[in-house]
Amino acid sequence: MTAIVSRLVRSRASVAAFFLLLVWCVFGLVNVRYFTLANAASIALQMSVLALLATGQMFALTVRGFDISVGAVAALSSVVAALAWNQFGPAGLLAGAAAGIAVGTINGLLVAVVGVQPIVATLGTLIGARGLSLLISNSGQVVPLQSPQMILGLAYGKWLGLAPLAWLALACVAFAALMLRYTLLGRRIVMFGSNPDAARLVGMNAMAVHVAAYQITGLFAGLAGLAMVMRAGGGLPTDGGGMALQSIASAVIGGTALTGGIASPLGSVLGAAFIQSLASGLNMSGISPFTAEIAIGAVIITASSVSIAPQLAGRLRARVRRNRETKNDT
Amino acid sequence: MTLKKALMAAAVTLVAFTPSGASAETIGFSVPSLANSFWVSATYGVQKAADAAGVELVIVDAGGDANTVQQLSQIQDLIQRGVEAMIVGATNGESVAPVVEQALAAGIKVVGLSSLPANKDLSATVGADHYDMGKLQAECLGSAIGGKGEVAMMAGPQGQFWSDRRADGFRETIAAEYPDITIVAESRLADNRNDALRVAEDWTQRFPDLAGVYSATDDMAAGVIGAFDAAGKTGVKFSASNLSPTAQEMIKSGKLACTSIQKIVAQGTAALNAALAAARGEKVETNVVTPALLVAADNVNSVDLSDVVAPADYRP
Repeated sequence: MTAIVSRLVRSRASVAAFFLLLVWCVFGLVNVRYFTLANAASIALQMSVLALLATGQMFALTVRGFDISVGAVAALSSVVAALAWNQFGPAGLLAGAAAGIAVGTINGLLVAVVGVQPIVATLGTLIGARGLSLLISNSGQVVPLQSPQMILGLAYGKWLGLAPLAWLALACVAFAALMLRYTLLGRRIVMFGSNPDAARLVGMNAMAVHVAAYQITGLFAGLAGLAMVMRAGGGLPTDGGGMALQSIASAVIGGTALTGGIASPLGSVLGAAFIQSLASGLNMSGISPFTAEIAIGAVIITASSVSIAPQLAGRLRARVRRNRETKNDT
Repeated sequence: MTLKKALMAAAVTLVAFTPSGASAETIGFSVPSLANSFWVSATYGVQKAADAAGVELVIVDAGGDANTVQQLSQIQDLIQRGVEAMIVGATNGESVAPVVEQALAAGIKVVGLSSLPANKDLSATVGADHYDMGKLQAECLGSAIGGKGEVAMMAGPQGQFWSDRRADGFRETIAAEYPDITIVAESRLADNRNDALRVAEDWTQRFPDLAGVYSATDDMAAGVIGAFDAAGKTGVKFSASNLSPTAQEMIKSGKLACTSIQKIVAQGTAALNAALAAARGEKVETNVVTPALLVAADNVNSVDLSDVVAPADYRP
């Protein structure tokens, strides 16, 4: 039993997997309709936006940063994509992704080159992106797509049991995972995060790697914006509030370290699945929405505490060892 | 390996504890924002009717008009929950339409409440008579200024159903019943207190002979009254719609001549009853419009608000 527990705690993504399973079992017992393939497919679609944001957030966290602008960037990208769709047709969606990369580049330059604290830099771009969304969308009015049927089919159709959008989101996450593991840039991002000084000393262009991490975060925020367009059939200029913090929670529960150098794409997706499964379970249970919010907060705190427990334990052990050594010296 | 074991254990537990299906109907209610007093009152009405009918009510709150994606997910959850019918107050009518379409396709009856989803096959729609709210303001303001003179309209946002209808009701009633009153200005720029204050400051200069001002909401009226007070203009009469605590104070102190209000709690009750009737396959009143009421100094203390606002201690 202790072996099982220690193995679960040690593996990064399995904390999220464990809590996901727990949520499913608990709500499955409360409501028979919860533990079904239909609900699993529904949650896969619901979590698409958060899973993309969490995967993007993971890159900023890996280089020891934060990106609290991702929700606002997703909203901006959804508006840009909707406007461009109405002008240029389906190819216009690319403009949404490009908007994400553009804001990501600004974040990256501010943090890596100018040296602004990530939370301040991305707060600035959050406000700027929000303002720009309002500016180009007639003061925050939703931008409806002309002939949205094609794109709505991606969110509400089915490929092999899941919405096409859910598959697309998973494909994007898989791409991020492969990129982290097998490409030079991916390895360098992880290396930079685990020790920026060492990364500089071995001769890599650390600044460029640092910027690139934020660009990828921006790209994924842009992709999340496209997912919003697919679900709502339009650009949503004021949406995305609170999503940045949820994406950080998802990534952290999934085993990505706030201290940098550790990334877990699978964990980020499982973290997002956990948060969405929890929200859906509470929604379906019919308890007061206010109580539900308190419950979500409490469970997120519990899950993230468990997922950082190994780091905490390591730090404690190190301190004990240091204390012992100092005693021996005297 | 451990995952697999845990999964199997979960599956076994599930089979052992599968609860039997409930018998009473379940009605879902997707609210755009419970931080908004209008929706708290509407929810109170829905809840009251659900309790009276003995049906189970599942309320989900998107937490703000900006949170459309959240509402899309919540309506999906109501579909998965298998509610027989749902009431939807849309964060954005166009944007929630695709997911409401999914609910309709799943055989769930949908009732639109006040902020309607843009779907054709709703079982019923419930809302206020916004035209009458404007009309009542016209009658009150018209007689308050003695049936003649210049008035201005702080008409609220352009293109919103409620503000357009209230403005129509006011304009057409003035034209039909008060031929000696002229509407000299109509602003669609303001939708809150501060913006209304700025626009009205301009009016105090441009229209020195203004006798009365219409405001689409009580918040805007508070801004308008602030501007005229600051300019030292007394003798101008003001009317509004809605009855916030501020509006109640302004009526009691005589700053506001009257305010026309909608029966928000009654709308919630009507929506639940329509949803239930649709779920049971009974005859449904497809377009419920609750009548408007006028509140002025003579009835502000005696008006029956039980159909209008939720009690102060109500928590959804």
